[in-house]
Amino acid sequence: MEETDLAAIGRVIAGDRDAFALLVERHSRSVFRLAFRITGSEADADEVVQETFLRAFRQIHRYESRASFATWISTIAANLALDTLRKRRRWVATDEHIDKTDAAPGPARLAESRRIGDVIETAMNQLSLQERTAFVLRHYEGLPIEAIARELGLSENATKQSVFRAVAKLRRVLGPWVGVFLLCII
Amino acid sequence: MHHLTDEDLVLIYYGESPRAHVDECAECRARFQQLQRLLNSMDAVPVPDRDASYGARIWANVQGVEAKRAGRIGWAWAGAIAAVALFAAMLQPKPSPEPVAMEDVRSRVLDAALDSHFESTRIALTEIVNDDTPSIDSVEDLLADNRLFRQSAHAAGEVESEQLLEDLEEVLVEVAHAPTGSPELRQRIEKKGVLFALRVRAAKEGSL
Repeated sequence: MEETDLAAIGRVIAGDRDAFALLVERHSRSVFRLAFRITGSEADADEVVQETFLRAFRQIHRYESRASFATWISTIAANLALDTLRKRRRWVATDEHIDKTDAAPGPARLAESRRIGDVIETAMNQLSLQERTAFVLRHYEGLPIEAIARELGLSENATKQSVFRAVAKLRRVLGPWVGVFLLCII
Repeated sequence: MHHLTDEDLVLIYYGESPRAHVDECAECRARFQQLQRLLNSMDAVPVPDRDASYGARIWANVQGVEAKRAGRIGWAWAGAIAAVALFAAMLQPKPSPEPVAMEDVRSRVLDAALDSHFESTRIALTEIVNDDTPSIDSVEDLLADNRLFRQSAHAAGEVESEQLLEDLEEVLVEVAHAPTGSPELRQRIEKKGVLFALRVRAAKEGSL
């Protein structure tokens, strides 16, 4: 029978460091997907995954079983991915040679993005860091707003507002494309 | 008839609010279906995947970083123990001129290591105060080193250094727990005056 996450964590805390390999094996790919969705970069996502598991390994004794290990590790990854984005955006903001993308992309610009992923990524880039992280955790990770608020250190209301604003912005950018997406999904 | 707001519909979509009204009201149902189409389309984002050996590679990297860190801490401990032993040996009354030379060596080695530690800590704390984030590795390494230096300073009776290291330890523990920083943390760092103390010390040592 497959060992549970909780049993593996127990072994790690008891001194069997190799038991942590099972947790990495089991969760690293989903953590990568989460990190990629927040950062939009494979290289950044790989770094976030490694830092996430390093931090989890060092802080395993702080894990409380009220949340699943998957949730715990996801929130560590989300916070690290948020830090990565914050650093990257600060760098972009201070580089005057980089094209400023403050204005909402017009239909002509969106039309240039032929791939669905490009269009959605363009829409996601309109979100603030907090909106993007809250939305990814709610939409892709399925975390309840209350849990997102707790893990990001925000009030529940602020978290709700972040998700609402994210959806409103996505609606503005993606509205005209939804029919096309659905045809592609089907 | 009262209709749902866009926010209500978002909460219903994510199952955080009851959907009874959507089933009863055609207008709200139409708006809800539009939202459903939008949010369902977000799942069309192509996400690259990693192969089956990804977890093994990540674990190998984590082990590598941990081994390196353990080595550093081991060396730091060895250094601290050597410094303490050296100091204890110096306290023994010996007629030979050797203690003077050893004092000189001990002092230079310890001072150089301590100066380097203070400088690294000053840079990390400056990054935080400037709203930047040092890596968690560097903060935890600094904290581990700081503890050893504090013990050495205590053993050597270097009260001024010990006090500064004690203050730094408090701040580093806090930073290690909240590496992304916060306005409150930045305020506390500034209020505690550790950065100022580090700058003063660096200026005295001529490294600024």
